[in-house]
Amino acid sequence: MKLRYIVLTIVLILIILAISYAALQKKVETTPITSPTETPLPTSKERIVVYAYRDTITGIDPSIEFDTGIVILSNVYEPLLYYDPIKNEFKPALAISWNKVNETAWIFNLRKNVKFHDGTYLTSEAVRFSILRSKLIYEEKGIGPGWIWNCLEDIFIVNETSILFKLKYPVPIPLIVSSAYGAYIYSPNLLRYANASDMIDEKIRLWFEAGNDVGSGPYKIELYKPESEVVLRKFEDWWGWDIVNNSKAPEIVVIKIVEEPASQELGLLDGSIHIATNVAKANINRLLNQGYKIINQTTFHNYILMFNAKRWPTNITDFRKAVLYAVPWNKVIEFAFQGFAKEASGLIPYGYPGYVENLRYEYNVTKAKEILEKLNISNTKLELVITSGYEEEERFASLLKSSLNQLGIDVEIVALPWEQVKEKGVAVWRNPDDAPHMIINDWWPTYPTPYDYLYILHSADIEWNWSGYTNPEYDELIDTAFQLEGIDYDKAIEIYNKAQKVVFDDAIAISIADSIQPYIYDPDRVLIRDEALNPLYMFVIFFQYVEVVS
Amino acid sequence: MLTLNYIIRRLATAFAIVIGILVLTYILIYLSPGNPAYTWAGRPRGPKAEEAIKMAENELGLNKPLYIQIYIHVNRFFSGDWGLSLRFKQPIIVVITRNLIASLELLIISFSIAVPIGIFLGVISALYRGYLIDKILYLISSLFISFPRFWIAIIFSVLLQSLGINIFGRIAPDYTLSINYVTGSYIIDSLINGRIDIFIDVLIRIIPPSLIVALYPTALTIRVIRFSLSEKLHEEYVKQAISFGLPRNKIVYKYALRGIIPAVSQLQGITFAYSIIDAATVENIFNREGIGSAIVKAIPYNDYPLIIGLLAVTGILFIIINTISDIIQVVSDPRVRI
Repeated sequence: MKLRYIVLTIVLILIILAISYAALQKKVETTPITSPTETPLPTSKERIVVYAYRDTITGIDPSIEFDTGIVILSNVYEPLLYYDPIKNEFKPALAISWNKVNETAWIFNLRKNVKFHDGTYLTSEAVRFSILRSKLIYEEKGIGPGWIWNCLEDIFIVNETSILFKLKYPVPIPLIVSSAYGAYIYSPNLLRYANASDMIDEKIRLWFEAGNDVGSGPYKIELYKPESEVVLRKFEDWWGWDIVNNSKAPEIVVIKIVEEPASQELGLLDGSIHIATNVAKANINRLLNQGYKIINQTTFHNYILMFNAKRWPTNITDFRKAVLYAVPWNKVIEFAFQGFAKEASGLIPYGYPGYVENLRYEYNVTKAKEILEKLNISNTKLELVITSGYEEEERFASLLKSSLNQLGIDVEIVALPWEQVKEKGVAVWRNPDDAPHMIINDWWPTYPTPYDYLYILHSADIEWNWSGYTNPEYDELIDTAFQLEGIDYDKAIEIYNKAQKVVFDDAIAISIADSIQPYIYDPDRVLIRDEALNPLYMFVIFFQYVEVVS
Repeated sequence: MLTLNYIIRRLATAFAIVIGILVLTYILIYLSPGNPAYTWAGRPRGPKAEEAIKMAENELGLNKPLYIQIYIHVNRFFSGDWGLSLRFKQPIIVVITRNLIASLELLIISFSIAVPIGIFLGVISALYRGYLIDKILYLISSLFISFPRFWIAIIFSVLLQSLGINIFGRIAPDYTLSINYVTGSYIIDSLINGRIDIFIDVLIRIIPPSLIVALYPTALTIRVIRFSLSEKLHEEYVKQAISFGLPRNKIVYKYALRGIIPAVSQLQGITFAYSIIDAATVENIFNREGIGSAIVKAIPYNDYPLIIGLLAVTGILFIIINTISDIIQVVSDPRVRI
């Protein structure tokens, strides 16, 4: 009998739930629906945006984080300046003016009445603290993006709202202070909050990673679950709301970690997601036909094909050239990237300082065959390592495989998780025969200097130079150019161009394509202003420039 | 009867299983390619990148001999210091707790659906053995057992989406910040906060994935009850009860069914562990947090402290569930000694 009552109770509960749900559905249906999809949720007074991001968050310590955490950091913290690489102009953020005192000294004047999320005000001391922490952590532990401050000798406080950057050597410091990583400013009060003894105390990192923040940005962290979702709330005291003039800015931003493209699409269709970043590219047109909109953002994220310079036969320059001549470059964008990329040239992406036109290999199978015949190489096998889960790399690899088959070269494609790809790449220095003949590395910049892209072929960079390329001439060119950046920028760019020509002639590494990031969104729910995206900030949406329209 | 011997034996088994999980998982991760130090150091760049990786290896103790690494790890585990997740930089305990609660929420609802429905349909199948209803139930349970749940989950989620039913995630984004999180279980927390609207939303979102996870235990329960109850119905005491003229329902539910409760409870203990694997795929498809989806996210990055912690907790959970099954067996049948 007892069992009967239990079953009866469960059935009753299910019936009640079904009735309640039907009632909720009915309530929603009575409100005018402007979205291409129906949302069964009760309307809320707060404006909410749900943004589906494709990867888990690796950290939110603004001085250490050097990966996916940028999606959050860019909305919670601010640097002194923002840089728009397309327009090549600086935009004031926490600094309102700046001037060069001499080759190695710059003064920045801070914006007044800027509040941090803990209610305290921005001071020169906060700027000094934040930047020195990034620098010191890198010097002590080698982690984080603090290497961008290697040029810094010290920061002097001129007064409450002015600071002086004293440099070891001339550099274009406005570019560095507008870096996407390692240049965020925060309140030094966190020493007290984290109960830390000094600025590199591990307790500070743990305090940040627990989901706390002391930034000054337009949003503050409300809920932090790096493996599944992060919720941001509008910071009403942000200095920029009047400037942005966006009365429809979201009050709550939910950043959902949705790895599967199919899940992102489903979420978009049922109204659970308002902006998606990782929908299967083949389905994008269908979504557009259903009324969704797309923003194709030019990015500085590119895919670099690197040859192993220490293993036969890719140690032969002419062989590498033959491989590059055999790639049907005209098909790469359409087939591998399904239209979501721009034809690459050299190593540096389009729009980025140091980009050079016409560093491309033509598709010429005859030429490739001639080279191979001359080298007397046939029926050989090459190993190509790519990162698993990267649709673009997988498609490019299959294209390369079929092209090289025509030349009697068999390509073994090995798709591995990123950590293993890295291990394979680094192996070129320890045991070149264990490293693959070819490997694809995806790259994006820290701050806009060509050195960032070109350093991955420097002989000193044994962690990222997966080609094992050692060319003293090249090293000297990029080192010289880097040192010249702060003295004669045009001359520096000229030398960087020369270095790229060296790499091109050596055919040691080449960018496959400059990726274009599609953002698919529901136009009846959100409107994304142009300022919301900046190619320096990968996958970042500046939500103060997003309008919630329903 | 629950004996001291049983408690000691069960504790010893639990200890051995946890040690086994810790050691085996550690060895497997050690042998697999990829360096966890890359994840911990956060993909360092610049002139100090190499130094950062060496420091990370040192901090994680990866440069020590394997047996010392295992010793340190096991020791730290039992002293409660489970360390930080290499990928998420948060304490393992924190990551595991929130994902465990999410998984338990899903599994408890699933088994709350699976057990009564399984028993009910199992009884019907046994009572009408050989009839059409029995054949239909047999076919359905076969399908539920053999069909891949991830496939059913995808089809189900697409179907619900086409009907405009919003089942993505554990809670509607509008409600995410509307309640104070006390237990981490959205069902309980919504009730604590007195928000019936949120409670309903959370239940609506949990029922579809729960139904998918419930398929396997339901089907298995139907099968076991059908077989066991059919045998019981042919035993002497049942025949005697029938001859006394007792009502059929009373005979089935009060006498015959009681005899098979031990077998059913043991079955639930075993299927619970299997359902954790099912839950992993279902969690991903429905974009829910949980132990399974956390493991899936930790493995590609060699986040070994998190992987080991999650597997150890799953092992402990498995032991707890099986212990409860044993206790139910004792309570339902006084002849049983464990």
